[in-house]
Amino acid sequence: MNVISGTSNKYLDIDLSTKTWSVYEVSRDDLQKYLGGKGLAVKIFYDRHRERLGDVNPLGPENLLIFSMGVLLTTGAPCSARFEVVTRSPLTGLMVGSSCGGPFGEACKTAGWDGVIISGKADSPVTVRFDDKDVIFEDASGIWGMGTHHVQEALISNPKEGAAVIGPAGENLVLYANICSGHRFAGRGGVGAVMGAKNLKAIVARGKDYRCEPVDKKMFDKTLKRAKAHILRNDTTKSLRAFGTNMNVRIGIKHGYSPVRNFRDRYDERTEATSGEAMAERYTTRHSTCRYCSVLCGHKGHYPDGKMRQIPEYETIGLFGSNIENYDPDLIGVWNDIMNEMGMDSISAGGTMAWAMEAGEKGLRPTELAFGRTDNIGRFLEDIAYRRGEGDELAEGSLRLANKYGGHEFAIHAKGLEIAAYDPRASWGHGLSYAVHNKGGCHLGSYLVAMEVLLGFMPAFTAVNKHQWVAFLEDIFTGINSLQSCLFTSFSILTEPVVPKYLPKFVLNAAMIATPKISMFLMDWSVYSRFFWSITGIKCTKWDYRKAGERINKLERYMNVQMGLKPEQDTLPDRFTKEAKTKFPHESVVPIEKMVKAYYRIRKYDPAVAGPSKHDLRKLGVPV
Amino acid sequence: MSYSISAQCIGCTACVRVCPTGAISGEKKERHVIDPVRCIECGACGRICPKGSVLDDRGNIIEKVKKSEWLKPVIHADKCYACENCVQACPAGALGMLDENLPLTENRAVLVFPEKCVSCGWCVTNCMFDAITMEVLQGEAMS
Repeated sequence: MNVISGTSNKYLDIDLSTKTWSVYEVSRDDLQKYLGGKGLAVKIFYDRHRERLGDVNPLGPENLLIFSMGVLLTTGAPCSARFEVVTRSPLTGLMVGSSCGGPFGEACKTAGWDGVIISGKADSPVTVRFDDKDVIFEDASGIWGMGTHHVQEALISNPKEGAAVIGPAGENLVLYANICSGHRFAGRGGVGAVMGAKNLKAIVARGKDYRCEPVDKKMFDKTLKRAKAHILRNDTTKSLRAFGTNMNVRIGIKHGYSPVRNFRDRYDERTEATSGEAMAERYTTRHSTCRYCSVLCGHKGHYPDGKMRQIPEYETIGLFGSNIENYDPDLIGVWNDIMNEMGMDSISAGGTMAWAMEAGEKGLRPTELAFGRTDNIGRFLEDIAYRRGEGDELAEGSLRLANKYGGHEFAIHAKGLEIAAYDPRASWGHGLSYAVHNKGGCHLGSYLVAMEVLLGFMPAFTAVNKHQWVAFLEDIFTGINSLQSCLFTSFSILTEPVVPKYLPKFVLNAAMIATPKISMFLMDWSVYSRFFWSITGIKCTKWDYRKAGERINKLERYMNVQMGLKPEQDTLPDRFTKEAKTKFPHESVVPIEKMVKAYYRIRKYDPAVAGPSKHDLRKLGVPV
Repeated sequence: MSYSISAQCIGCTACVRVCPTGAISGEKKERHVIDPVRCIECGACGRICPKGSVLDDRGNIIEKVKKSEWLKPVIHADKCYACENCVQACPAGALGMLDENLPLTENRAVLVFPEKCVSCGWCVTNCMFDAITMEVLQGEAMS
């Protein structure tokens, strides 16, 4: 087996229109500034379309679909089997990056490629196969229409191979279709529709020809030891390992962030039936994770009908549970299977259906969907994937539906991307996180609900200095998505060092809100920067790492502005900013306007354009 | 970059029987060939070959190792978290879980079919908990 020291810095550059390929070499300067993974993919997109970002049709041949592997992948670093899919989203019209932990990443990287850039559009359905030397374009008309898991079974003949595929939802350009690899998904923003629009059914990598070794093995081993120790002894890791992301359900009931009836109620005691604890017992769950995982949040379980199914993640449980008034976890498991096979994002599907239910109740739009009615959900999901009947409209997402029928105040999205299953009225900083995240209503922009509620590191109901933390964590998380570690490692990497671990909670609360800059200074995320440093041999301190995160975020924001982002899109739906009274006893609305203003200030964004100035970008080393 | 079989091959079919992916074919008493699409470079064919006729991807002869001395995974129960990643990674289907009905934290991976194990070591590289070591199994463990 051949050894690559650090990274190969080679991207496979495939043009589907001409069915040709070439090699794109990443410069050392770009790797240093953008860290790999998401950051490099954003930069590649920018370099290619710099002058015409606004003219890129998300579903046109000019859009790029970039699969980007991180430097951590296959080095043995924990939770590193991840890759990022970056493109212009058909759902939001903005840049989107979606992370996935499937086997395609490992196969691609060990074939000697740090990523794949796909441009153009094939005339007819095609499968791309590649190894370290060659790319083959195969006719895919025979497998067009197959579900995500069936098609992988049909395509993969050897454990060295890994595939990224779309299901019928991607083929039929459902605007929130996703890309599947193994049993993991690059879920958000309609990356699957972009792949479908290119007539690309699947991309199969044949790997295990190369092994990536860190340049500085000694520093890597030391960092690895520290990272593993932190992850293994951390309490949040332990909860995730025992109950998966559904550990959030009980905390949500207690703190009132459960999504109930299209986010109207914040609370329903029946939600307990779908808690991680209840499901772990009901389904005698087993682990079913990404490769190279040491957190182990993914689970599968024995369902009463005798089938072994993947346990749905918290978002699916929330949006297809309490949010549509369903309290039967068995049903969510079945629907989750349908969505997985069809290849569509369960957050956007659930959010859109809940909007349709409320719009139906309010007489805005006739529909067969209704809160509490569960018999037709499975059929509707297939209708959406095949764009049949009412499903054809639902495939467009809640923003477009609200544009057509009204009901913007209860269309639960940010920038057109449906909001995940945390009600921001229980976590104001998390509200800001949704509102200003470049991608839209994704919970993983800065995930402040963790700091405010899950870990209790800062008070949830104050706007003071939340913008500082959102900006800081956005930078750290973007770095993680560029190295491509799992975001769940941040729970332990950021909280296990001595200062946050042993400081009394009330002191921590006061310090984090009153003196955020000092608190950040005392925090230690050098595990991430040292991984990058030791693997690539490029010096990277924890501050360089944060700077890189800031650079990627601001570049992405700049691109979004070119693509038509307006300042008024940096907000939350009226439900979260005006409706204080819910079934949950505590009343609150998110003071989003002042928080966004403060965020612009700290990011140095011009409030009139919602983006960074060219001067600021140049200072960060971005060519504009 | 698959492995290959040189002219030394006597067609004894020992490698055919041990290959976990069915990549080797050929008539008895004639030189066999390895299908590069199926080969996963585990090296089992080389370790079993009595004539030293299997070459790795760099053209080096793979040395024969007595079957009873093949390294096999020993899974240390105290370190195993039952994540199943080794079971998923095993190309030979030699690993499995102890008992599906056990509580999650008590379950662990085990070498269910030691005779199927081809000593490729994929389980070790896939274990994030350092719970697997490759050792020569003694008689009791083999059974």
